[in-house]
Amino acid sequence: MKKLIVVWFALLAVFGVVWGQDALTGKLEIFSWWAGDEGVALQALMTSTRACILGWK
Amino acid sequence: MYPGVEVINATVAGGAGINAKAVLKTRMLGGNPPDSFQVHAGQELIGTWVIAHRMEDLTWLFEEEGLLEAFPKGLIDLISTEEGIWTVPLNIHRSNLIWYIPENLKKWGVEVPTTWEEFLEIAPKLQEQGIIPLALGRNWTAQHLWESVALSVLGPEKWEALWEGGLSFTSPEMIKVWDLFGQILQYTNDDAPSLSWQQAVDLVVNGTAAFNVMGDWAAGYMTSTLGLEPEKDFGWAPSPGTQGIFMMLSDSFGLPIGAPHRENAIAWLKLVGSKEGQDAFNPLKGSISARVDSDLSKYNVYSQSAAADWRSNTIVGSLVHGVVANERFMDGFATVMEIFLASRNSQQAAMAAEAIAIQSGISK
Repeated sequence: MKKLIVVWFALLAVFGVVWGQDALTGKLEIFSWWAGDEGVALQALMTSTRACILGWK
Repeated sequence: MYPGVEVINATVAGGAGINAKAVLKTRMLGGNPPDSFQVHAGQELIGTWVIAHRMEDLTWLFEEEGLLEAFPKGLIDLISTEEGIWTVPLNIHRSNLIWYIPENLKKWGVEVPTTWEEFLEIAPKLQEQGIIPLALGRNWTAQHLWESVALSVLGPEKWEALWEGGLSFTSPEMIKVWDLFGQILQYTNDDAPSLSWQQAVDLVVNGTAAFNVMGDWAAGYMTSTLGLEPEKDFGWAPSPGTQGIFMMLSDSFGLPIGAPHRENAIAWLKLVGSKEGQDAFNPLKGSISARVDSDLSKYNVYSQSAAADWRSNTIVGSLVHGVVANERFMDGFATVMEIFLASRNSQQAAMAAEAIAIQSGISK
């Protein structure tokens, strides 16, 4: 019984993470004055490792 | 794992955000906010968007992400009121810097001036050789130069007193600031009103001008865009008379009330505040991380020196880049600068500055 409860909570946790991730869809508008030359660093931030993990493009 | 979020990189070009801020104001007042926007930490944020109740409190995000410990207390104070914490700082920039090409100075027989008096002594020698002593761009870059000149005349205590209502804009010290600024302007390029800040930096890089006073985004431009190497290809120093003082500004991002994609914006703000995000952005931008745990090995020699100065210098806030005055004053000060550039009349400029200081609640 204990094992069943552990498995049940583990499944809940996994689905919770997936549902949470699914919420990140749609658009994200970032407004700034960093265009052209000044935009290089912003682009790097947007495509940085963590952004890639989040699945942004 | 995630289906993907389409990031819309909505930029409005123009140094110091002069054009972007006007567009943002229209959108915010029209009920059409972006998901997140760039704003300078300090009065540009607090005195404009927070007092107008247009921002979401991010205190919970700071607690959840450990950002209260990640940023210096003084910086958190700049983005906070008693009601909350309003943006996530992305970087620290330094405003009071003078840029030059070491090889050119050697060729022209001049050294980096440590005071404006020294600059005024060497400027005619440069002019005799056909060199513009000091490169300048359009209006806001003149304001940028002005704040460095003012800091050199006033020192950090009186500079801060000016913004806290403790020093009049018409005081003898402030007249001295305008007088000195006028003298310095005699040694700048005639086409300044038509040049961007990058074009003013270009004048130094291509050997047309000797110096440029600009924030350290100039380092980002020279390294990331022009491919130059700090120390070897270009040099820097505190702007004359401001040794040991770090005039700071910080770009930050916030969450406007009514952001259409709020959850995505929160994910963005977590990235902005993260060590990884800051260390991806700042080495390219010329700024340093706003976090205390930044990996300095990822930064070039300029940024490493800026990080050392940030920790050891006296810190003051920038006017032109939103730290010490609200947008109302900054808008008015652009007009004051326009008047001074045309008239070179110190008394008139000082009185006009005092008038807008009273209107915007700085002077009583």
